Amino acid sequence: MKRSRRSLLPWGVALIAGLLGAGVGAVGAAERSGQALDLPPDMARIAAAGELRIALTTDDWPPFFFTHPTRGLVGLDIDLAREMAGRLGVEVRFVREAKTFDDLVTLVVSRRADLAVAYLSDTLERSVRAAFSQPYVQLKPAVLINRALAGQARRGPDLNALLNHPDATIGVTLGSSAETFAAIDYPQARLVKFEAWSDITRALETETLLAGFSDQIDAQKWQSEHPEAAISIETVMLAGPPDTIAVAVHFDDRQLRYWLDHFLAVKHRDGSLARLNHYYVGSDLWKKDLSASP
Amino acid sequence: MALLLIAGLVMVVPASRAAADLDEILQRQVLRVGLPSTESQPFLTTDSAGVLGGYEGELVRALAARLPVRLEIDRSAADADALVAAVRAGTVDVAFGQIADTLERARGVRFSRPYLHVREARVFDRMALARAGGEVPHLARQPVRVAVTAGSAFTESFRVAYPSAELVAFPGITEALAEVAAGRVAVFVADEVSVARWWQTHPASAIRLETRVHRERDVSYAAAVHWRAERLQAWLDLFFDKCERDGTFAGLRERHLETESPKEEVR
Repeated sequence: MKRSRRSLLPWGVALIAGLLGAGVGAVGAAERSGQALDLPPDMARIAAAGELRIALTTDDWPPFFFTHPTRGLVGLDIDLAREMAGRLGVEVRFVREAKTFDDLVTLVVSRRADLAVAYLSDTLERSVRAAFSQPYVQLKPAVLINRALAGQARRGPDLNALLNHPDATIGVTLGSSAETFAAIDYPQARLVKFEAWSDITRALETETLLAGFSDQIDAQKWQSEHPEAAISIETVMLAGPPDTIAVAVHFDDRQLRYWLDHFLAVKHRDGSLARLNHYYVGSDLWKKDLSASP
Repeated sequence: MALLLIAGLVMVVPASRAAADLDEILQRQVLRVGLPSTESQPFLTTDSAGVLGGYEGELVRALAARLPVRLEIDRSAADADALVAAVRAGTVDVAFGQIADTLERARGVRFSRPYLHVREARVFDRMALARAGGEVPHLARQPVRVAVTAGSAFTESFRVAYPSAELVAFPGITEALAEVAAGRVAVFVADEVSVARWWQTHPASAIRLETRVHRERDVSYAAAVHWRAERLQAWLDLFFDKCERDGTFAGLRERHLETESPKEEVR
């Protein structure tokens, strides 16, 4: 009996070592990377995984993120996400599974992505589910108005009188921040929810919708693609508070959230955030570069 | 068996457990401050009575005056990287010492808002610069040797600016610049304040060395605290905000940093 007990000891040690090894698997892998031993749990998790998972929607949203025929995924958010991963010393992986913008938050909350860097507005509704970084882009709200229907409405030149009325129909994209903002700005209007922004512009063209509510990006994109339609559809940039685009992060990932804000502050300080904004949002430079590339 | 299990568990408890936030610091009535072991004009000096001076030394004294605790100075860390490591390990509550708030360090610690922004300066060997046709971008692409002071944040910016170069770390600015002057290293990267201070005592080196200040590259010095110490971080942020508003920072700059900056600029 004694002998057998003694002989069990090395097995016991091995078992404990194995259990401990399995229990601290993430830390173990991080340790092997050389510097993650005393990292905060969220940073250690990312270091151990060797990748930063970024949630995106299945739809393209140029110039934030979209698939280019030869260059693959490109855009402002893609540049930003790649730089974040590079600075964290890990690979980037895009989780392109969200059907709507609200789904992006779900991917972060359910831990299927570390961050959502995806043209996502930091609305108060979303902020009860996840934390947001400081904004990295500010966009002016914009409306597209069918001139013929506006004339028929006979409510004068005042935009608010035209839109904040029970007979007014305003199109918004389902699960977008415009849905919230339009409801706040025009509480009396009838909001019509569409799957995609292209459905809204089509409804405006066929005179089945008075107005479409979105931001300067959507409005500018539509204008540049349909210059002839300016006769029938008017674009108005609104003077209201800007829509702020920010990174969504899990509430429990406190150091990651701090790091994100620090990352954005450093980019603000060195001017690279302003340059990124100018390249993608303030100009057509990105379009010119892409059309020049094979 | 049980003993073994306990021993195993103790081994995996992270060292950061020792880290304290503001409530514990107030309770023990001691703030453990990490400062670099070496003196560095104009940032940190100690007079014969042991009183801290320089920009950071005075700042630490001002901070201590506003917290109802006793200061415990730990000067065992040799450089900024070692100070960050001490904060991460929880052996000090807060560290000062030309610690740039780099993104790499911010993975494992929290930084206060910066208390000083300085520009990046590069001191070139004129011969190396001449061989590159006087063009910094051309030199930056060559497999040259680049000097930094050990444990400084310029290692991070060096990797971006000189991707083909070999990095050499020296214990101090004097050792590093002696190598540049001897033609064994092409360029030394540091902050403009340290470089300007060195020039005051080495004016004759202008024959061999040329300083250029990078107008777009700021280095921001901040206090580092443990990643759990969010309250201490918030307190420091507020304290530094007040220092900005009440002229404390302006006074520190006037007393310690009013040196002639090199005028030439990179790009």
